[in-house]
Amino acid sequence: MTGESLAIKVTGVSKQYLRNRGGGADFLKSLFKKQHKDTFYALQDISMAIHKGEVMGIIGPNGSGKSTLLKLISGITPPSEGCIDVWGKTASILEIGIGFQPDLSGYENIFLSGYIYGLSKAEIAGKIEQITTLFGFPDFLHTPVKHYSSGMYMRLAFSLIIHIDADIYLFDEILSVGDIYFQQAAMAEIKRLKQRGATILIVSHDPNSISGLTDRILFLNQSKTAFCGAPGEATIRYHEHLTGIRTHAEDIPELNEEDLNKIKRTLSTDSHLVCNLTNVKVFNNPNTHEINGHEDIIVDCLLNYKGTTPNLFYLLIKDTNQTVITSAAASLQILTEVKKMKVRFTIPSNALLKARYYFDFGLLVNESLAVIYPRACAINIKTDKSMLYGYINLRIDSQTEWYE
Amino acid sequence: MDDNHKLYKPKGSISAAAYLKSVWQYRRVSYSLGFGEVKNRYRKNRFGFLYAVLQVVIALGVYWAIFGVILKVNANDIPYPLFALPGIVMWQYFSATVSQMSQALHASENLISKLYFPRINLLVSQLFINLPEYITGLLIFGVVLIIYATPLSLIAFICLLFLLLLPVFTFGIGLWVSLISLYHRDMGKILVQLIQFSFFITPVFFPGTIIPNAYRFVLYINPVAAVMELFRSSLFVNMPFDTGFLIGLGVGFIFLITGFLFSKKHELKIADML
Repeated sequence: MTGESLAIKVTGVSKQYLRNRGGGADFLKSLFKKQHKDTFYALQDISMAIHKGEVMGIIGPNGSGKSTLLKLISGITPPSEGCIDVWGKTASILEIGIGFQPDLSGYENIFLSGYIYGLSKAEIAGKIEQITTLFGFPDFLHTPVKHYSSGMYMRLAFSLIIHIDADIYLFDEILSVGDIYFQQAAMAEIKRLKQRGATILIVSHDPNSISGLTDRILFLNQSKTAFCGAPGEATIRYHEHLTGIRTHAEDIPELNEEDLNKIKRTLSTDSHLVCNLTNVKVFNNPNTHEINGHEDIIVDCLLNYKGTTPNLFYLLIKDTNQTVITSAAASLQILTEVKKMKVRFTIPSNALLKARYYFDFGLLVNESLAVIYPRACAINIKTDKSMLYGYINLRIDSQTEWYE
Repeated sequence: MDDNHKLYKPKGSISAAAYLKSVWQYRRVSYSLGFGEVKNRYRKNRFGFLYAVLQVVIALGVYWAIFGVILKVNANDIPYPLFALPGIVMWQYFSATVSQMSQALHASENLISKLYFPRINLLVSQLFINLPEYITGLLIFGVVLIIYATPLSLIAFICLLFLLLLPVFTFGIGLWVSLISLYHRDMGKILVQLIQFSFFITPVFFPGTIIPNAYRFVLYINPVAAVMELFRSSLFVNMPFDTGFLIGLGVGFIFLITGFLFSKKHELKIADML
């Protein structure tokens, strides 16, 4: 393929690093004995193509190779295998505040750092007003940056880098700086770049912060591509990875004891407390598989329980972003011996609107969570005749009348 | 291949000309890192410029007292301060810059792992850091020259060439030291120590002529010695021109060219070596 429509093409790229590069005594040893090299892959067989004007997010846990990929694309370090083509002027912003000198003023540092990013004096001078406006503390512009708060320092640095003219921008975890207002301003600036037709690659730990901005998300896990595609789907997969439950997009209406033990987290140290879920099932009707919102949704939980205080057994209903939408609680009596019990929650018909839901179960002891089963069940409510937005139908009454 | 297309492969080598071109394209990185550090240092320093003056004057006083007055080193009938000052100023620039260059790559690890630019630009920036002291020293030398009103040779203007050659040779030697430090940090430290000791085989406080002919080759192969002695002989009438020092100029350029090629070859590995 030619570079006509592509901005970046990554072909079968791997990056190997040496695990431990010894110094001192190791060096002497290596003179006499040939040592085998202990290497590991930071990236393995990555291929992707990014079109001009596309915004691509890169997510993944720590050590998954996100930053390494950006380093390869910006040419900081070469790939060990494969090749990378880049068409266009690239601004790689892997860290902000590069080249800042603590005893010089913000104004002087804008120039110093700007030079490092390849801007000329005239280019920086032409943008100084915009940079200062975005920075937002004009009174501090001539103060040495060592007197800045860390947030101000970051804002100054960000205000500069967002004004670099390039075709391709590589951002590494930069949206996590500053306060919420600044993050919004930063987001708006990145959107402005997007509207201008820039190609953007943005790395984040938090897919929610970038999913609205991106066209596609690459989810890296253990140095390989775990998923590459629509932001929503990537976000779900990433959450699934973090919580350790592989739900994909399909429903998990039932879990047995083995599955439940895998996800159980015990937060209490009370040795007298026993709370083991042995079976969980979500259904409308014991005979059908499909779950719909028009009928009552039954959540049956079987558990082995012992507790020396009156406790609460909770059902938490969450959305895909892990936000609790609503909850229900069942009181458990004091039990001095372990007993099998069943807790049934009934979600009334037409209460949940069309969306994907996750069910957590937890035990509350003295107002703090003692045992939790995060994202145990997942259901999709697919059909919804109500034409309402959101998650829960509160059955808000509406009346219309003519008053003229 | 047009300018806007870049291809990154596991092993790539570029021509020396292309490498030089990219070093030039990223020249602002060198200015910024070098002058930024100088500015920062002087901003912190209460005495500012005066500090650079004091540094030179104190060094000159000590050398004058020990070698000029007490040991009475024969400086070919040139007044001792006039003889020693260029040596002191040049040596201070050379030794401080080489020792900074040896640590520069490690000290800028963060920068190197976060931004692409030809790594040699970072080393170029180190040449600027001691420039204010170097220039101040030379200005003081100018003042001393006027005070003594010594007759100058007819080709005195050539001495400017040697003033410019010093940073060039310093760079060549510094390149080698910094790349060796990258591979073996301890070796780099030992090398810097050795270079500091080479003070005694460099005609800083004595003229090359006091070394017996049989041993003078030690001075001849030393590029810094060459720059100093040729500077003096181009400036002072009393200072004989010793062709042996031309060897030092050759050695200086060999260091520079091989150092440049060596760093071009290792360019891509540097980020992973740190």
